[in-house]
Amino acid sequence: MGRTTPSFRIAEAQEIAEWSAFRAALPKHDRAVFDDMLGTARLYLSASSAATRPSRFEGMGMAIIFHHYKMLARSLLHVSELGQKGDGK
Amino acid sequence: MVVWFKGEDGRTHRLVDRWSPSVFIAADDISELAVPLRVASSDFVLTREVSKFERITDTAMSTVVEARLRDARRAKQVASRIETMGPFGAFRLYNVDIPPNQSYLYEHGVFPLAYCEVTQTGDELQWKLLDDETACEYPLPRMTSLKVDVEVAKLGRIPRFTDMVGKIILAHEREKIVISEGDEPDRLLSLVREMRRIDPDFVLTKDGDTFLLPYLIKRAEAHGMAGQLRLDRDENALRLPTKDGTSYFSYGKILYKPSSIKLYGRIHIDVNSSFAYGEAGFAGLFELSRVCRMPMHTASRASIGKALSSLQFYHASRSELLVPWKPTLSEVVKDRRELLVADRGGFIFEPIMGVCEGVGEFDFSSLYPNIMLRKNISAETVKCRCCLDSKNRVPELGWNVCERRKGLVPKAMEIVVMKRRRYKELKAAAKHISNYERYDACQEIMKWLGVCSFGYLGYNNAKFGRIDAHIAVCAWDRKILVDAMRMAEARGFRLMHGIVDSLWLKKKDEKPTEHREYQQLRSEIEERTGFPLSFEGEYKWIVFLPSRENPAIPVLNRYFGVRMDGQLKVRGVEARRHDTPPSFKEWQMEIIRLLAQADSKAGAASKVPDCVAVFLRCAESLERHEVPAAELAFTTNLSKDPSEYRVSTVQSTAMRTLEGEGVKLHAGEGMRYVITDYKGRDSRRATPLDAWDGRSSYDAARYIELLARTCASILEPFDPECTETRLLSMYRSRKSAPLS
Repeated sequence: MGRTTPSFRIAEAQEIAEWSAFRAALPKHDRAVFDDMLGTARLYLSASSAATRPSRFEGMGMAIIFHHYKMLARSLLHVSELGQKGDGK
Repeated sequence: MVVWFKGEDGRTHRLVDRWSPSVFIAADDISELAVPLRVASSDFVLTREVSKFERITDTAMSTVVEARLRDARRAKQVASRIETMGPFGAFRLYNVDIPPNQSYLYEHGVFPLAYCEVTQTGDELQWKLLDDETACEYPLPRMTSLKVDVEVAKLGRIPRFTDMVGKIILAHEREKIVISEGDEPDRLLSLVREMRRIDPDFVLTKDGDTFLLPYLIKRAEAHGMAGQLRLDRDENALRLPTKDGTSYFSYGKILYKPSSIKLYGRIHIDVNSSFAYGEAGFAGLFELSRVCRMPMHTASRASIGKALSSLQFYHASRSELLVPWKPTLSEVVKDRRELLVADRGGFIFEPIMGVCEGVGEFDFSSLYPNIMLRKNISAETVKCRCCLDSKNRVPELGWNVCERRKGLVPKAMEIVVMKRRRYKELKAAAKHISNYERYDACQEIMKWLGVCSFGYLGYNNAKFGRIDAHIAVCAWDRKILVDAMRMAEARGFRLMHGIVDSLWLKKKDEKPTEHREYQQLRSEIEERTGFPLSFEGEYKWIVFLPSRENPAIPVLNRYFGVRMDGQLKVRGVEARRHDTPPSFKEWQMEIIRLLAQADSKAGAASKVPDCVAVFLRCAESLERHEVPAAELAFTTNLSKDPSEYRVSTVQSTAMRTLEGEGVKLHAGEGMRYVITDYKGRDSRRATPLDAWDGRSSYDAARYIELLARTCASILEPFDPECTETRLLSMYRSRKSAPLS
C-alpha cells in the first residue's frame, strides 16, 4: 500500500530535473533567471496539486503563467498609481 | 497463563490459568481441512468448527476451524506447516501472530490494571470485571518502583562487558542505596538481595535492554554465577534475549528496537526505549495499557502503531472478526484519472512568508480520527458492496461509504476520540498540578493513537488497512478545510497559512480583530462542517520562515510567534529539532523569548540588537571552551547499517570511532557526537560523546559558524541585515577588540 502517484512537490522536483538539459544550454546569466522562474511554481504547489492534471508540467506551467500575470497586473496598477500621483502634481 | 495481581491489601499474588490461545483455519470447503488438521493434531489440544467473519469485508459469517494450541510459542511454526500444505490461499490462517497475553486479555474481556474479582476454579480463573476502560478516573493499586543504575569501572574510553562493576546505584522512593562494598560477585549478590527486599513492581533502567542488564548478565557469567542473578518475582535467572534487536522504517526514519529483557512479575521499563513512558510517563503508560489491552511491559516498548493494532484486534475479537496472519485485502482498482484525483494528501496552503501581526489560529480537534469516526471510514466501509446508493459519499471522488454497519476503525477510534476530549476538559478544569499533569499525559497518549490511526489506514503491514480508506480521509480533510477557508474569506479574513487541520487567518482590513469575530467564525465553521474547531488565539506577531535553500520559497512547518497571552509557538526551527545540540536549542529559545517581549513587529525588530548581544555572548563562551561537551552534542540516528556508509561525514567519523572501541551499532540506533575538528582528518572530525575524555576538545570555530546560522535564521525576518555572514563578521570585529 502507500501512495502510487508522487506528491506534487516531488513530481515538480522531478519535472525540474528533466529540464536540466535546457538549463545547461543557457548562458550563465540566464540560468539564474530560469531557476527563479521555475521557483515561482513552488509558490502555488497546493493549487497545482488540486488541479490534478495528468501532465505535471501543466500544473507547473499554469502556476508560472499565473504568477507572471499577477506580477504584471500588480506592476500595471503601480504604474497607474504613480501616473495619478504625477497628474496630481 | 501466569497472571500477576495486586490485592487490595497491597500484596502481590501470582495465579496460573490453564489456557492457551487459538489459531483459526479456513478453506473454501471446510472438509479440505481434514488432512492438515490430522497432520498437525499433536499441536492442538482442541479443534472445533465455529462461525466467524473471515475477512473484514464479509457481511456474513463463515464456518472455520478453531484450533487451540498446545504450546502458544509454536503458533507460527504450526501455521506455516499448514499453510504450505496447499497452494497459497487454499488454507487461510488467522490470529496467528497476536501475542498470547493480548489474546488472553481480549478473550477474558479484561485489561491491565483493571479492578476486578478473580476466583480460581480448579486450574482455571473466573473473572468479574469491576472497572471500565472508558473511565477517566480509576483507582490504581499502590505500586512501587526502583531505579537501577550501574557505574562501570571502565578501563578504556567506553564501557565494555569485560569491565568490572564499579558501583550499583539503586533509588527507591527517597532512599538511595549505593552498592560498592566487597568484590564484584558480592556486589551482584547485594543487588539480588536488595531487589528481593524492596520487591518493586517497576524496575526503571536507562539502556537496560541494550547495555545495563546484558552487562550484569555478562559479569555474573564471568564469575560463574549466572544462575544466581535472580531479579524477577519468579526467581528465574536473568538471561540474554535469544533474538537480536530489529531496525525498522517509520515516518521517513530508520529506527532501532532492541530486544527486551523481561523481569517476570515485575515490569522492566527501559526509559531510553519506551515511547509511551518517554512521552507521557507512568500515567500515559497506564492509560495506553488499559485502552489498548496490552501488558505494561509490552506497551512500554511498543510503537504507538503496535498499540493501535492491539486496540483494533480487541474490537475485531469482540465483533467475531478474525485477524489475518497475511492480509490480502487489496486496493480498489482505479483508472488513471481517478488515481490522480484520489492519491493526494490533506489540505496544504503555502504560508505567506515574513512577519505578520494580528493572525488568529484555528485548529480542528482530532480531525482525522473524527473524520474516521463521523464519516465511518474504514477498510470495509469505503466502496462497500452493500450500500452503492449511500448518501455518505467521499468528496471529489463520489465513493460510497457503508451506512449499514459501523467500520472496525471507527469502532476502535471511538474510545480514543472520546477520552482525549474528556481528558482535555479535565485538564482545563484541573485545580491541582498533579491532576493537571496526569490528564495532560493521558490526553497526549490518546493524541498519539489518533495521529497513528490515520497512517495505519494506509500502512502495508496493518492487518485492517486499505489505502482507499486513507484516501477518503484526505479527501474529507481537503473539503472541510476548503469549506472553512471560504467561510473565513466571506467574513473578511485572509488565509495566511493552512496545513491539514490548522488555519492561520488575518482580517483583510487594518482594524484590530475582536475576539467576538473569531468566535463567530469558529461557531459557523463548526456548525457547517460538523467538526469541532478550537480558536487557539491571536498572535501579537508570527513569522513564517522561508526555505533554507531558496529564500523566495515558503516552507510549511517552520514558523514561530507569540500569542496575545504571551504563549510561544515554535515549530520546525533548530530549537525544535531533535538533532540540535542542547545549548543551541537553549540559546535560540533565549533569542525567541527576547523577541516575544515585544507586542508588535516593530517592537520585535527593535529587540534585534539585544538578540545579537546574546549571539556574541554565546560565541564568546564557545571560543573560551566554557560550554560542556554534552551541551554541544548532535543527536543522530544511523540511517543505515555502519558497513553501508561510503561517504565520510562528521557523523560517520563518530560512528567509526565507536566501532573502533568495540561498540556494535545497528541501523536506526541513536548516537551523540561532538565536532572536534571539522576541516581536519577523517578520524579527528568528530568524537562520540560516549568516548569523550579529558583530552578531547571541541571545534569552537565551527560551532560559532553554526551558531551564527541558527541565530540568523530567526533574526533575518526582523532585520534583513542580520545574516549569518554579518553576525560572524560582527563577532570577528569584536574579537579584535578586548573581550569583556
